[in-house]
Amino acid sequence: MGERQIDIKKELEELKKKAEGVFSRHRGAAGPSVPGAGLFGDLGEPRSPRALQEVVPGEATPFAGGAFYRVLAGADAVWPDAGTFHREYLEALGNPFFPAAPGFAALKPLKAACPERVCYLDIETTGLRMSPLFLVGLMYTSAREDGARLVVDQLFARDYSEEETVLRFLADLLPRFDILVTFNGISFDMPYIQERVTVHRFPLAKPPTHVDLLLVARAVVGGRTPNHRLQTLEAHFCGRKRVGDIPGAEIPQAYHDFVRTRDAKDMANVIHHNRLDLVTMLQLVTVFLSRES
Amino acid sequence: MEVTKFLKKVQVEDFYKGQIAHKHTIPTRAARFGDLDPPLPEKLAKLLKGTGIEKLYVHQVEAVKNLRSGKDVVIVTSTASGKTLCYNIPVLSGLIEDPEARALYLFPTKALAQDQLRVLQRYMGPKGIRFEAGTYDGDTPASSRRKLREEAKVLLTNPDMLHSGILPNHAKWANFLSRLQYVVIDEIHTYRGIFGSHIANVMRRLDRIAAHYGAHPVFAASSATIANPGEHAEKLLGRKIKVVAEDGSPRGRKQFLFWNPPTIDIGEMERRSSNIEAAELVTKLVLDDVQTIAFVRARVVSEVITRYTREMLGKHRASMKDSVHPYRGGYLPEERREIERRLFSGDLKAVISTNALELGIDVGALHASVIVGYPGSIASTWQQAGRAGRGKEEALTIFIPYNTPLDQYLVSHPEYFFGKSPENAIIDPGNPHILMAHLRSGAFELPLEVKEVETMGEFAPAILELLEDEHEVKFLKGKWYWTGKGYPSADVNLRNISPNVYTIVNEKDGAKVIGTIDETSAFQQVHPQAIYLHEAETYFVNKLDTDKKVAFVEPTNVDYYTQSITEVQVKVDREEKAKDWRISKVCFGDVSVTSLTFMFRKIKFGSRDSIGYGKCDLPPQILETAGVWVVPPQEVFAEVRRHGRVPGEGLLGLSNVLREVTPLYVMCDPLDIGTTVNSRSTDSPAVYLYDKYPGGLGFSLKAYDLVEEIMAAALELIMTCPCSHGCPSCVGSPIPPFSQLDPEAGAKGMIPDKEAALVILHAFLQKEPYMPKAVERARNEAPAPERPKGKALPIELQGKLRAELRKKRVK
Repeated sequence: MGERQIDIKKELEELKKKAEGVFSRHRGAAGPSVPGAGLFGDLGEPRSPRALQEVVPGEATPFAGGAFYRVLAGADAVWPDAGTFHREYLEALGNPFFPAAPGFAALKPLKAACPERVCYLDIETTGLRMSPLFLVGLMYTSAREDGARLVVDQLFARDYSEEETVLRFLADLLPRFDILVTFNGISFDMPYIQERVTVHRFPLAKPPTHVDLLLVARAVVGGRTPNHRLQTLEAHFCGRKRVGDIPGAEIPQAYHDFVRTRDAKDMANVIHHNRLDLVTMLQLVTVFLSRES
Repeated sequence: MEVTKFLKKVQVEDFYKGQIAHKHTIPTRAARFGDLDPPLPEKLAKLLKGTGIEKLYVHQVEAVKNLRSGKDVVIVTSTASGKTLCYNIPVLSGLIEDPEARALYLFPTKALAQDQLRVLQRYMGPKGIRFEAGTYDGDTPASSRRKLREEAKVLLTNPDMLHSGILPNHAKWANFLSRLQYVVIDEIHTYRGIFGSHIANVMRRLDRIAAHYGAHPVFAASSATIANPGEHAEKLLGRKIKVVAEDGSPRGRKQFLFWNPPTIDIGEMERRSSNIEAAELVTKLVLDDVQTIAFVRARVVSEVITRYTREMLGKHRASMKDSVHPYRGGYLPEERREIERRLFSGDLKAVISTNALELGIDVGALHASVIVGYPGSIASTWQQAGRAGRGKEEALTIFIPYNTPLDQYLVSHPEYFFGKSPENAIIDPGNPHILMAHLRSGAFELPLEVKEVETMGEFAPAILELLEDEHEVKFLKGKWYWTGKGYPSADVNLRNISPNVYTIVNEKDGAKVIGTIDETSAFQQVHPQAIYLHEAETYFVNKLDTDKKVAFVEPTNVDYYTQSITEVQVKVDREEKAKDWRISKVCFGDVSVTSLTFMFRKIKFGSRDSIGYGKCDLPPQILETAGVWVVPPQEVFAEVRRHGRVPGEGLLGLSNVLREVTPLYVMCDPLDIGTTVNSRSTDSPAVYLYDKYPGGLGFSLKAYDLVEEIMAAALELIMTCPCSHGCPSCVGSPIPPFSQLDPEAGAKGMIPDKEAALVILHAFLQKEPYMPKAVERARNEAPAPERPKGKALPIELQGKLRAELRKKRVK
């Protein structure tokens, strides 16, 4: 019995090394050249179940009597060129230019905002309504002495029972921000979060301003793209095509499978999918508010 | 009304041929009032005074007192005894004390919810109590739903909507649910069998969700008279309940007549048409200015009797034709509201209704009720009788039997009816099939906790284990979480009826929809070439589109209506298990029950004769379900034949008894199972019992295991039944197989052979062989021949012959 356990440990150790090798090959991932499978994807058929920690390094975070799994990273640790596109983003927010078309009006609050008080949000759920959510992805600018830095902050419930703590942590975090940026968040993400918070019976204070990029895209992109889905806009404006990304419709089942088997193999894909959604939103704002657009 | 005067008048008319076969008088009962302590809020007392209520009856006081002190109550008092007030008072006074309190009212039908909303609206307005109330059902437009969720203090809905609309979206209702003070559940006697077992589970789901949001509402239930109101309410609501049954409302004298249409032939076998007799009586009542409700079993009969009544009234005064109207399911809601309104205002003098008006829709004070044909249960008959008479006024109920063996049995045995307790309501919330549906729905709504599951019946943990195997739930840290796909409550229809509803479209009037009809009835009633009756007018059915679910009709002026003929066959699809039970073989497995409407008959109005036939070319309707069947050995049949009796008749009688007895053992309503005799899949006739539910709900399976107990109970029931030749309580079935047909226009049938059933059961159970009574010439056979007419005897010859006889006697 004891020997067998050591074996597993060894095996995990090896897997981790292997994974890290893959990570380093994929670094430099965010720009147009990014392979869409992402940082952790496409690791080949695993020989044994993957632990979460192993495929998505993060930290078990105790909060409000419960716990959840927090994947907090600087964007530059995910995408080597994050510094560049973050700078472009800050420049777009800071310059005095504002596009004249009325469809852009909703973006106006971003111009006056302090970048640290703007938060990008995207959630992953187990259904279309009244089912637990399991991932709240946030992206925001964090000010430090050595300059501003873009941060990806993902709150992950390792099983259904951790949803409440994820939401409580979110409720604790949100008041830091003045502006929330989402894609379809007015009809989906925020009502969904509100519904889940109601089920867990605690209040949620939302940032006073909510910019929904889907509404902006509908107004300003019009017929230039065949539809206004985020990935269509991503291909059109960011020149990025996702390869090997997990389709949104498969995410609930992948999560249920993870909870049942504890095999995290698909969770890396889901986490990365969520990150790509977040970074695409940020890049769309950059494009919309840049002079060249 | 002046009943005595009316009856006196009727009895001297030519029309009267001694129809009154039995007269039962229900004596006057004086009102008994009580005092509330603490008294009602002044505002409410004033409002009630405004509607003419100064004092409360003892049952109202008892109900209000208990409800206000937080005790759950079931109110079981007579129709029109002021049951509604029993729960409206605590709800309204609760709203005066806390304007943010909420109440949820559940009614079995949308129409009842709308009716009760009108009642509540009497208390609203600038002088009344300020609160919002509204109905919430499938017809509520999406735009109003949000407003209702946020603003309604009293929400009137139905259990179906609670199950599929409110509970699965409880977060949207969190505000409403967290302030829920009262839950009113009206007419709980309708929640029986499969439907009731579902509702019991829905109520448990409501309870846990309300508790989740911190609310512990008080439950107020009401029921018509059934044998077991307290037990039923406790099972339904899963809690101890106080029964309030002491009726303090006053009652005028009520005459309950059994009115048998007169015989019209010498053999006294044929009787005058009961439909015409009913029309005749309604006409007389209307001419006497007595507002009347007639209850019929089938929709077509409500149309036919209306037509006859209109003709009779039209002879008196053309304008009176419009004072009688049919009322039934299948009419458009606005049409029904209009009839209810006209009835309430007194503009309508008579309504010919199906049991659609049996439930408590408030149509004001009706003076007489006419029950045409036995409604199938004692409870239902009393409900219908209760529709006549309000307060202290004298009232009349007339039961007109059909010339069928069962109805005639009731007329000749009034003690059967007046001495018998109403039926039991049976539910089984723990039925594994039903429970599984609600464990899935419940886990979706909120993870199920161990202590909850422990109260959900012995099978709950095993069902959850099965669901976990199927990846629909996951047990995690002491709770079961939903991990399945979709919305489990959408998979469950609480009512055992096809959700398919056909519309009936008048092609000649801009394709206007004139009514609706459920799928099963559509095949039987609006097949091509059928005459569909709507508001007593004839419509010809041009086409029945089974894909689009539309029947295309056009008005036509013909003097006949149609009645379809449907054949039901049961067939074994797969025998799953079999055993030798004493001398017989008992099997369980998949069966399909096929109903085929293959032809129809044209019936001339005013007669009962067919004037023509037609063929129907419709696909069969197939119910695939589970069944149990008993195959008796040949020697049993031989024994029945030795006594000069027909084995099939005995088996048929036995199958009727099984439908009465089995529900007690398998926990369902008699309407949830079917029984029949068939020899298609077996070498000799077998008795079948099947679940009337696609795929089966476990009733037949239980019956398979309990065959000995059930057969012994069947034997005991027949042996102890005091009737001589079979009656509705034993081998006769109170519910006809096609209850949507006009009982006058079909075969009359006969009560199956009680003695043959006894021979069979004694043999089955290996008792001493039963010695049946000698076969009598059944009274129902052809009349004895009349004496032939020959040549008269000459008077002299007569004298001679008589003298000859006298001489012989002396010797």
